[in-house]
Amino acid sequence: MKILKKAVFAACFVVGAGSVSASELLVVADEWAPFSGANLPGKGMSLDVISTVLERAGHDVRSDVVPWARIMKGARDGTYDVVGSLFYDEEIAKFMLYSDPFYETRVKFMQAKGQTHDVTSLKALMPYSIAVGDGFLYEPEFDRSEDLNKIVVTTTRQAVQMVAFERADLTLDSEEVLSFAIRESETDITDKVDILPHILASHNIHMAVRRDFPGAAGIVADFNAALAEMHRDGSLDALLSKHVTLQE
Amino acid sequence: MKFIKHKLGRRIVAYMILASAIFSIFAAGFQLLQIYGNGLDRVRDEFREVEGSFQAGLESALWEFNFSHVDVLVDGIYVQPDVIAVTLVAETGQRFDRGAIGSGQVLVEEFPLSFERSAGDVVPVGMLRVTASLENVYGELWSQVMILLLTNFIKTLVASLIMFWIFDWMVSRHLLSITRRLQEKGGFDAEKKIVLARPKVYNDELDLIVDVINTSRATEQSANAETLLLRNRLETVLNTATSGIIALNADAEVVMVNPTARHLLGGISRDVPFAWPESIQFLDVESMTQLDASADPIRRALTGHNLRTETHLLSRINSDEVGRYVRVQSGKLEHARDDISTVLVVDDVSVGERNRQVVERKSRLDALGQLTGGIAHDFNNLLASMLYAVDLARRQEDKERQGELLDIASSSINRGRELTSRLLAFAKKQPGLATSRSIGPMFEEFEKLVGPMIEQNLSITFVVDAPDLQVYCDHAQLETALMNLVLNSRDAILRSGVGHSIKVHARSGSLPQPALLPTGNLTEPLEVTEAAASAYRYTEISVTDNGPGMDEETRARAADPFFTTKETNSGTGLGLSIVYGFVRQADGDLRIYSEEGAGTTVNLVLPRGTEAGPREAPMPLDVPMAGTGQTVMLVEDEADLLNVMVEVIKDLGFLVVSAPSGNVAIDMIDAGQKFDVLLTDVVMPGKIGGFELARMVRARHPEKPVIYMSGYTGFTSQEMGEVQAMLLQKPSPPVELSAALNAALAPVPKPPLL
Repeated sequence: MKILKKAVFAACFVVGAGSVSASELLVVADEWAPFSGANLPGKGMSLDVISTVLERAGHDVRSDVVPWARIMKGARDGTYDVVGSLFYDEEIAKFMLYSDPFYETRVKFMQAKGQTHDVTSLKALMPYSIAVGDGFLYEPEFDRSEDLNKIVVTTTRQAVQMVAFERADLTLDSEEVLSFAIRESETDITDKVDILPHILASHNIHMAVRRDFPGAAGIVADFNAALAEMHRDGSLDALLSKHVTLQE
Repeated sequence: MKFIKHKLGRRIVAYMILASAIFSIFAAGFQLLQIYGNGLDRVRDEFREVEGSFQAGLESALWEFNFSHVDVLVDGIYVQPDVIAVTLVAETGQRFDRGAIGSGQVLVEEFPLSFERSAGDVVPVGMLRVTASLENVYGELWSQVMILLLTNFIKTLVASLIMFWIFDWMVSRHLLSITRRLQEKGGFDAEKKIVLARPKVYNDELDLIVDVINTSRATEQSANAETLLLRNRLETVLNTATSGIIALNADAEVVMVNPTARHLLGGISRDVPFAWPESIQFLDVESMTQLDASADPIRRALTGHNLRTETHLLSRINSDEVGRYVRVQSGKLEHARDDISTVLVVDDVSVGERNRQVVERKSRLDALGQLTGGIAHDFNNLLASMLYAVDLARRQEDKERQGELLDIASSSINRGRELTSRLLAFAKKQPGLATSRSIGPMFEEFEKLVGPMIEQNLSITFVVDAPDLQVYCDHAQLETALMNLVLNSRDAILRSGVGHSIKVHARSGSLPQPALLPTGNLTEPLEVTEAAASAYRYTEISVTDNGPGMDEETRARAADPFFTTKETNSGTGLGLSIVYGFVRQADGDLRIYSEEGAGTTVNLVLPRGTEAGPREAPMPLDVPMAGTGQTVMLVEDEADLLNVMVEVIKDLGFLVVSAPSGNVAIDMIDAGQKFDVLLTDVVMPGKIGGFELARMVRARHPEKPVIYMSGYTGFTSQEMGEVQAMLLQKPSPPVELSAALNAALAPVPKPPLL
């Protein structure tokens, strides 16, 4: 969901039952389209991939989408065992065991079509109004900068529409998220915006298992092995392409 | 709840409800207007709420494409109580609709939404249209109307009942109690004042009313009492009046009539007003025919004539009854205050009129009687001298002597001729030879003269109160008159076999009085003015027998010439008429009292003489001795006499209680009636006569003095029985009456006269 949380805790907890073999694993992630979402096909790319990989590794999997704060609390007190759609984060790594990343996403700017904004440096961003998600973390230097004209909004979908209707000069997010937001926007803005090629930052997406969960390491190992295997046989890419359509 | 029946209360409450309804309508209207205004204000407040609380959020959310927030805000607007529809159209084309606009009245407000991007750079972001229904406002209004109606109805109902009750408690019941008091019998008794059933006097309007009613009742009652007193007095006067008094209205109806007049109208007893009885008519005295309409006294009185002592014959037509002679007077009412048009005063003068007629006839016969007597005497003397002369001449041989004797006869014949020629030439009365003489010697002579003529089984007594009492008249005629009377009594006793005694009584006579009553005596009162300070005195000589007495008819005709009760040829019928002629000529009076079965008294009232010869000069009138408030029980059966005597005795200074008969008198005495002296008539109808009454009274009150009175004075002591008492001759003049009463009331009773 929020890039802030993804960045700081950077994790997808894989919530599982105590036993690898016998019990069903509950994989939870927050609402973060297109990576995870209750109404997305396969509940989003992240949960679909994690479920597919774990099932391939021989686990029974059930997935669910819950709010981010509930995930963090549940992972600490043992309610949830596996969390998906996580960026790597030191703090989370203290109590959760990260798997290998299964996807890399890039943070890019978006402008209204026809504009020629320069987004290549923070200094260059100074004249522009930039719609940013409330509490979202995009890139540390950008996030810290207080000289930028940031317009705080709640969702990326808002941000892209604001840009499309020139209520903001720029916005930024993972390009998958931007594309999804443009596509799902309440207004047809597909032809009104351009995603700029400049990459502000890149982030890997993981899953993680609660460290005190019995067999946590086994589960992570199983996941990593299956993931590697799927990567090799190309089934991972096929699965990913089902979920990600980037704005051209 | 019976107070609800009280009409006044109902009307007041009805008006109160009406007034309350009008004010309630105004107040409710105002209230409803307020409620309506408040409702509208609330709706507008909701719009302001939208403006104040949602507009900025919406503008911002729309600007930021935060449509979920927009949804939340639109929902927030939609849940406002009166908002039924919200439509938000974003500038970017999104549309948010909530609710729908139904029928009903609505308020719509549009809010143009815009975002101020920077100072002065305002960008429209959408249009918000909020529709609020006034259903709630009207619903509240309607429920308020219902509540107001209901509460006002209940409030008014309860207030009305309370008002009703209060009004009943404070006013109605008192008014009703006053009404009941005024309606009840005897409600106008001022002693029984109206008092309201209230704890105290408030001096409010009700107390005022009651005060006024009580005062007016008292006033009215005293006025009524006064009216009643006046009415009673008027009634007493009318009832006592010996004149008939008849008040007529313009239609000739009798509207007021006193008993005497009723009697004159043939004893009519109908209630007034009544029409003048057709059968009673005024007739001409002379012709005895009905008067012309122009002469009819009623018609004349009604047409404004004042009738002045006209005498008519009042007669009942188609009746054998003898009519009454009446004297009619009338007064025309100039300013009548009621329906009375005229008042007739009708006096029955039958007795006087008949007497007048009799006297008129008699006075002619008197002269004839006188003449007859005088002529007979003179002729007797002449005839005697002629007889002697002729008789002597026949036996005388001496021609000369014979011639002298025949000359005497011739001269006697010539004197007779002169006498008859004088009689023929003058029809003038002989004055008679009036002289004064003492009663004593006169009675002695008369006793010698009459004694031999009275049978042995009859007694004749002579009583002289004062032998020196002088009588001034022609004594020869007096002797003849007394002889006539004594012989009449003797004849009556012998003829009937009733009675045995004759009494001749001389006494100081009463002054002639105005007639107190029609006693049936023959004469009219002698001329005496009431105001006279002096009058002639008289001497009374009465001849009384205890024979059969006379009946009414005989008494009425006793003095008629040629009327006689004796056998044919045994009398001339001229006796009493001659006596009557004599006393009238002597300036005296004749009174006859007779009670059938008791006897007869004939009273000669003759002028008092003097020892010197001529008639006694008029003497100053005696002043009656005044009574000192003692109570006289007067018993007299003749109502008129009773009434007059009551007044006379009252004037004499006594108190009077009267009774029309012995029975009534005894009843009154037994009922506790107080009195000091009994004055009673002797002969009265009913079982209790005067003597019996006296006996019964004495049996109850042995100390009470008794005085009898009667026209007939011949009662004996045997007839008087147990109670021997003074016997007054009726009518007694006030002087005698007061003297008798005072004497009877004196400590030592005077012995009875007989």
